[in-house]
Amino acid sequence: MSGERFDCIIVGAGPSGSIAGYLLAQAGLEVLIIERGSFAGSKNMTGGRLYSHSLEKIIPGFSKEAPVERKVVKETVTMLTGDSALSLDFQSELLGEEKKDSYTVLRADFDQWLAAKAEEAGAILASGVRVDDLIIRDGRVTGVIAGEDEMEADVVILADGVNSLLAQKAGLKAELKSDQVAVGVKEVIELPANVIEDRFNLNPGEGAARLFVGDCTKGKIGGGFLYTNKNSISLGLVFTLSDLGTEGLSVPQMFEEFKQHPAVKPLIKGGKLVEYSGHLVPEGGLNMLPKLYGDGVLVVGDGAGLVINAGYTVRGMDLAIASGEAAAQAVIAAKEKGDYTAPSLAHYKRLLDNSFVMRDLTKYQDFPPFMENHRIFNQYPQLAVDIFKDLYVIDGSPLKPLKKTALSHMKKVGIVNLLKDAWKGGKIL
Amino acid sequence: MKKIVACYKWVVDEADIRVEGKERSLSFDRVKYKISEYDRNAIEAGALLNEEKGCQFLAVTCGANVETSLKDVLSRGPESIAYVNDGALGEADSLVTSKVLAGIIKKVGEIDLVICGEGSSDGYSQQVGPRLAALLGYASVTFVNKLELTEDGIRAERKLEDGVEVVEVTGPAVVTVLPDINKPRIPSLKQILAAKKKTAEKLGLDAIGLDSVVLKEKTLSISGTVMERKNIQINSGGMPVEEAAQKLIQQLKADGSLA
Amino acid sequence: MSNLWIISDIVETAYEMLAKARELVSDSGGSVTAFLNGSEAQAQEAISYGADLVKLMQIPEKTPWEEYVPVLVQEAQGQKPDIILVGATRRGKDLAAQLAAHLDCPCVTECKTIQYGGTKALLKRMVYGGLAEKTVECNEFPLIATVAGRTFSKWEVNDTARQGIVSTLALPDKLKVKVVERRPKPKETVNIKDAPLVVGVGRGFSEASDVKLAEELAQAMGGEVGCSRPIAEDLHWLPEDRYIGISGQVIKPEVYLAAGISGQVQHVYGIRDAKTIVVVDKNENAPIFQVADYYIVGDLKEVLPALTKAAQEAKGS
Ligand SMILES: Cc1cc2nc3c(=O)[nH]c(=O)nc-3n(C[C@H](O)[C@H](O)[C@H](O)COP(=O)(O)OP(=O)(O)OC[C@H]3O[C@@H](n4cnc5c(N)ncnc54)[C@H](O)[C@@H]3O)c2cc1C
Ligand SMILES: Cc1cc2nc3c(=O)[nH]c(=O)nc-3n(C[C@H](O)[C@H](O)[C@H](O)COP(=O)(O)OP(=O)(O)OC[C@H]3O[C@@H](n4cnc5c(N)ncnc54)[C@H](O)[C@@H]3O)c2cc1C
Ligand SMILES: Nc1ncnc2c1ncn2[C@@H]1O[C@H](COP(=O)(O)O)[C@@H](O)[C@H]1O
Repeated sequence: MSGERFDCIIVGAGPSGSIAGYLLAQAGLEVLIIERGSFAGSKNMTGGRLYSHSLEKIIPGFSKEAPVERKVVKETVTMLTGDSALSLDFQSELLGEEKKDSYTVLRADFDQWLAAKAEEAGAILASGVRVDDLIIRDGRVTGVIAGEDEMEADVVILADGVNSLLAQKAGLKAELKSDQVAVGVKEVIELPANVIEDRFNLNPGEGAARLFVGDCTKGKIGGGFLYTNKNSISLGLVFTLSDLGTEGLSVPQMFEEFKQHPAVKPLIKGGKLVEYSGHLVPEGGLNMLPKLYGDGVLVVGDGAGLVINAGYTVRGMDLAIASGEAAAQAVIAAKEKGDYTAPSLAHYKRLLDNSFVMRDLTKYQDFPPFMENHRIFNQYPQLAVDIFKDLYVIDGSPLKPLKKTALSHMKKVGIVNLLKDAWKGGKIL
Repeated sequence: MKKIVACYKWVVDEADIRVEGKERSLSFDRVKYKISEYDRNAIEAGALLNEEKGCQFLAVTCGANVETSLKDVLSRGPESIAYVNDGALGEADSLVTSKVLAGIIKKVGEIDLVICGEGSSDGYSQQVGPRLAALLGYASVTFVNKLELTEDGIRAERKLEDGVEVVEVTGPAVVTVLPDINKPRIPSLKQILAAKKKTAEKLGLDAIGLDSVVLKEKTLSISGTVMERKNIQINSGGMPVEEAAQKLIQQLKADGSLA
Repeated sequence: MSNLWIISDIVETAYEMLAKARELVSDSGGSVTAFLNGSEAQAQEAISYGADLVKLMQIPEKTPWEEYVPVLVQEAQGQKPDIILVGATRRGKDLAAQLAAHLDCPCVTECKTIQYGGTKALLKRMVYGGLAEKTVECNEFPLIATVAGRTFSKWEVNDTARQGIVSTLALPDKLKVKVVERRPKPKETVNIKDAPLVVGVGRGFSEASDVKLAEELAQAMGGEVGCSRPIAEDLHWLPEDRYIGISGQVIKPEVYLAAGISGQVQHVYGIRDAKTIVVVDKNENAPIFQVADYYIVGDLKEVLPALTKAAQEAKGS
């Protein structure tokens, strides 16, 4: 057994690792995927919405076969203040079109399915094993170390997620700092399918996505999300680590208040909490991109910080899948040349540069600093709600013209600030 | 070379079963399967004897849905698995199970030692081991927490209610092991990879001479046991430990449950 | 007419099963035979508790008790018992299962209730570690059921006027297992079943020396210390008579206070009937909270001493 050697070892069976393994095995390479969870997806969490385009390209029609929960047909953004809420609904045929569609997923099921696809293609999956270290010879990664065991390969793909200690060991990136990550917490709350469909006005199989800004993070950077699954709701909060701790509220308390908010409470009423989890989200964006490859090594997905964290919405799975694909292509090309050095693997970066991954990341390049601007998370939700309160809360006092009301509220924030933010935001989005 | 067999059951993880509704029916919607808890000890016991003495070591199982267990089990030491996978065994009682297992074991050939868990995680009938011994005509040695091979049999320590009974058997035996006999391994990368190359032999019920499965225990109903409890958290809102402690003691006094 | 057997290595359990057996044969006026690990005097007592025939089968010196199985098989083939109740000790369970295999009959382990109407029997038992209760029907006999001590109650007054026949069972000629040594276990002086309050120690206690935190609290609150199975069986920090659950003790105290116990069904089974359940655990998602009346989320190393202090103060006041 000890003589065994693989073309490629992939660390981590999240979406990025499993896709890389799937494509490499399909191309006939000997691939080993090592996953520390007792099965793929056992410990993974995500908000729950998968934009289908990148996976659709690799496995056409995947949604018919994969354990997806519901197809999202309804988008709602809700601004919250202490007692009020203002919602914007978006419903469009566009949301359902092929390659523009998105699905809610639960990772325990979805990751298992994707890993099984890789196995079917011929990859070997070893779960319940943690990779502790890399074998590095003369600056070149030549394998992995797991417990007592060492295993060699021509190339190692690090798909081990946001913390990627291994990418640090490979010298691709520095230790994460607290301002480079956000935390996400999520509860899965069980409800019967028909209750979910009635409550969100959905047909069977259809799903809703809701985002929340404002009071749910106490005006701190971040936001809440709610996705409908088949028989459950994923409800969560994401906020920036560096911004925490200033308010004196603990994460569970903040979550509890979010759940109790009059705009949220009825949505989860009668539900049964079945799962609670917490996870980090990289939020560096393009500015904190690590080195993506080295001699004999590549880093993909969250490990490479390939995530778009727009504060109240996180997108990472479609990027993880696309980066897994690009890495696989680069490794296949490297095998043809028999050259796994950094210059050869640089092909990976070129593929990413020419894909939506870098295009979208570039577009959001300035988003993290923009978000550091607290007005987005505390003053604007209040502003919007105040304007609508004046419109709708009729108590007999004389009505003011809308322009006047709006202006008086906007003055509180400062018209100049407002314009500045609108200008910056418009440029980024 | 001695030939050792470990019996394991592939069971639903009882922690995933939920009790639902007024009828307290069980929901298996989200259940995962696992190797029955104490059967990990049974497999480990076999693996250790094998590593120590160089035996022939295999595992056997039967059930309605056991194929997903094979890789996991093979990574824990056995050289191969012989199994029966048949939908008819879904509700199998201990009587049927032990007949099927005895059939598989006879098919596998002359065995020196059969190792079972003390009881299965789901049924916990604690019967299959001694039943097997009776069906095979082997000695039965149950509740074992120390086990060694001797020249012509085994020596074992049984833990009983009133103390320890040290026994010796000449000839083949079935033992059931307690969880403290060993600490089951967490399979290593190499063990997992090695397992991928091992084989499992699937046997049909007919191959072991059983053409039908007749249950003599008919399950009429299963209903969850519920406990209505108050579920009050004493220290919500970051209350200091001392205060929480006082509050709890006062509460118990007020309830009259503390003198 | 029915013919019932009871087999037990613990005489007290035999008396309890005798009461049940008499109830089950009452309509048909059948007979009850007791196979007993006991003395001549206890055989007489068994008769006054309901046996018609008593066959003594004492634990042999050089071989396990279960070696009586071939003899019991022979007896069964002659006497054709309908139902055989076996005391659910470890010896009893082994013997019952072997006997069932030889008679090719079902065996219902640790039944909680049993109803019998001559042609069919209904029995209840726990499954899934105590999460659920299953009702099974058997309409083929013989049927074996094992019964844990204290499941049924013996007659309140024994009937010394009852007559019966006592004999002794011989061991079979061929024995398979040899006993080379017996080491009796020191008897525990406390029975946690009788304690009004029990503090349960779980794997959340990181070292043996921390068990004293539970002992101090139990003392301050006027109770005893119990534990989860791994504490007794794997770590041996407390005697085995103190572990609570489906394979250990089933307790019914006024207050059960679990500390560092995650609340797996097998453990919870043993505390179902506690009047009040209090829990201390640091993992806010621990399943044990679902069965708690009152709970404190926190580190037991901090919470238990604080509780001890509060309990002492409350006593003083
Ligand atoms: C709260 C929250 C909400 C989100 N919402 C969304 C959303 O709605 N839509 C979206 O597209 N994205 C969302 N994301 C982001 C998305 O979840 C990630 O971008 C995506 O999971 C990244 O995939 P990955 O394969 O790179 O890493 P992961 O999915 O993190 O997988 C890494 C894998 O590696 C394994 N591993 C780690 N270390 C080792 C080791 N040493 N040895 C062996 N195995 C190891 C892990 O167990 C894991 O299985 C969200 C994230 C969070 C936290
Ligand atoms: C057939 C069968 C029969 C069984 N019978 C029984 C039985 O009769 N009785 C029994 O008990 N078990 C039984 N078990 C075992 C049972 O399944 C569990 O494994 C066992 O109960 C777990 O014990 P535990 O709760 O002490 O340990 P764990 O499950 O490891 O829980 C430890 C807990 O301590 C908490 N903790 C850790 N550190 C701290 C701290 N510093 N402060 C506070 N809390 C802390 C953790 O959050 C956790 O909740 C049986 C199992 C099987 C398969
Ligand atoms: N279906 C099965 N397949 C293999 N072994 C089993 C099966 N059922 C029970 N066993 C073995 O018998 C032991 C006791 O099980 P039980 O009598 O169901 O409590 C288990 O620990 C296993 O070792």
